Amino acid sequence: MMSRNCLRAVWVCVASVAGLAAGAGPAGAQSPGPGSRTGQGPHVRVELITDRSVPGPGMRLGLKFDLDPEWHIYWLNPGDSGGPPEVTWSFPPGTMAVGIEWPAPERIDIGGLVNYGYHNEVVLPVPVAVAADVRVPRDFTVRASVRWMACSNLCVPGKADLVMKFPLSAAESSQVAAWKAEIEAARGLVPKPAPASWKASARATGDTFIIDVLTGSREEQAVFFPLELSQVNDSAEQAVTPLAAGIRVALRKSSQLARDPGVLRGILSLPGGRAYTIGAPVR
Amino acid sequence: MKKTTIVAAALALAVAAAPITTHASRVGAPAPDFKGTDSKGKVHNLSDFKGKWVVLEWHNEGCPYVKKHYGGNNMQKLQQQWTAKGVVWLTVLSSAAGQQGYMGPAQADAYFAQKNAAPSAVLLDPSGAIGRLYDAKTTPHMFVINPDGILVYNGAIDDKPTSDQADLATASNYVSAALTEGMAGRPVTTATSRPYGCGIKYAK
Repeated sequence: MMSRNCLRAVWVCVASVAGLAAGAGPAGAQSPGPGSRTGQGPHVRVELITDRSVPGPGMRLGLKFDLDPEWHIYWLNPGDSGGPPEVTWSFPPGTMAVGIEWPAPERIDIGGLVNYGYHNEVVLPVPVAVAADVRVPRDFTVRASVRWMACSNLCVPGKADLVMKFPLSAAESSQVAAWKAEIEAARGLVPKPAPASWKASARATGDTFIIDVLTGSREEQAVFFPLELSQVNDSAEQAVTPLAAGIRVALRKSSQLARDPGVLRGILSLPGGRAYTIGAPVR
Repeated sequence: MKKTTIVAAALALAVAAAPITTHASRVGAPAPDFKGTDSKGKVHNLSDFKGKWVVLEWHNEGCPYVKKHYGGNNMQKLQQQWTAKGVVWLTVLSSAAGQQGYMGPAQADAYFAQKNAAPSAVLLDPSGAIGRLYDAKTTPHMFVINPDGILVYNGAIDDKPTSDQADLATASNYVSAALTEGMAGRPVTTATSRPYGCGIKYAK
């Protein structure tokens, strides 16, 4: 299972590689058996891809989902309903999946309730950590047991047990360049930390949070994706006001919010595919 | 600059934000009263149940998360266990006509009998009025109301937000915990959680 910490910290999750002595990683039994890189469930095809022909430090895998039109899977915070894909990894000793680098999601309105997720095709990049004292064998097998929820207006769960074996077959090797490009493209959609010059702050007033993000220039549009569950009422409309040097977003509080958080964390998506992680102290 | 602009914008927003209604389903506040018709045609008001513990359970038979709890006999056991202790358990169907989970009275009775379900009543809410009043998001979504009519729990049924029946064995049930603590006169430790499940198929 992916560590919950990694899940919550999303793309900033960094493996302590030095602490990953051989055997200390969550390595599963390496009984090479039959298996496939690809799997499927209703309305969903899923595939394990890699950016390397030869495994080693710095490599990334990708979980590539291909969805029927109108169907979606979920971001880390799924919004009003649903849930993110979950992966149980099995790696050789001394190596491990660091966690998913989640691309910025879309806001998906399903009959007035709002989900955060992905349509069509999405690649979830997964960095692989290798302990410093480990030599990665050429003969290297990764297993991923994937469970997901896919929804349109309806929801259908799916699961697949995927296996990727190195050395790759000739047919697979010929695809690595394309896979690498897909993984890199997905990484380009992962939110970046907000520039140090930005200032984000939030005000809690009654039923709303008002977030001001000063980016240094007027922004016309933005969508905020809360990182934490149950802080924001996901289906409430986000009222956006351009500011002279940034933008203001008003959010309705969640009915499940017990007390205001010290910091509202999330992603600010701006036009042009610009997505940044922000933390707005709440006062 | 611009300071004036910002202040002006802030004022404009404060005005705009003011009319937003307060949460109808805020824990610690009175649970909003409602009038609903059950599958037998009987009309219930929440206020009819003053003096009793009330559980509201949002339901959609086709939702994989609901199937987890009914296929695993988990919801039925909870209904039996708590109604035996005098709790009023209301299962609410807020799917609009034509949407997954919508049922007419006869269909609902046949379905819940076949599932060996034991709610006190099944409220048919195809207009979504009760669901929207409570800001119910998912199936299931659970609410617990104390004998004084105060909402003491709003959220998920348990702490395993999956559709996998295997997770029932290790789940910690928030509704049972709220009722157990509440009946013992103790504050509810987990009074809110994120409801998990399928989005409710409300009337557009």
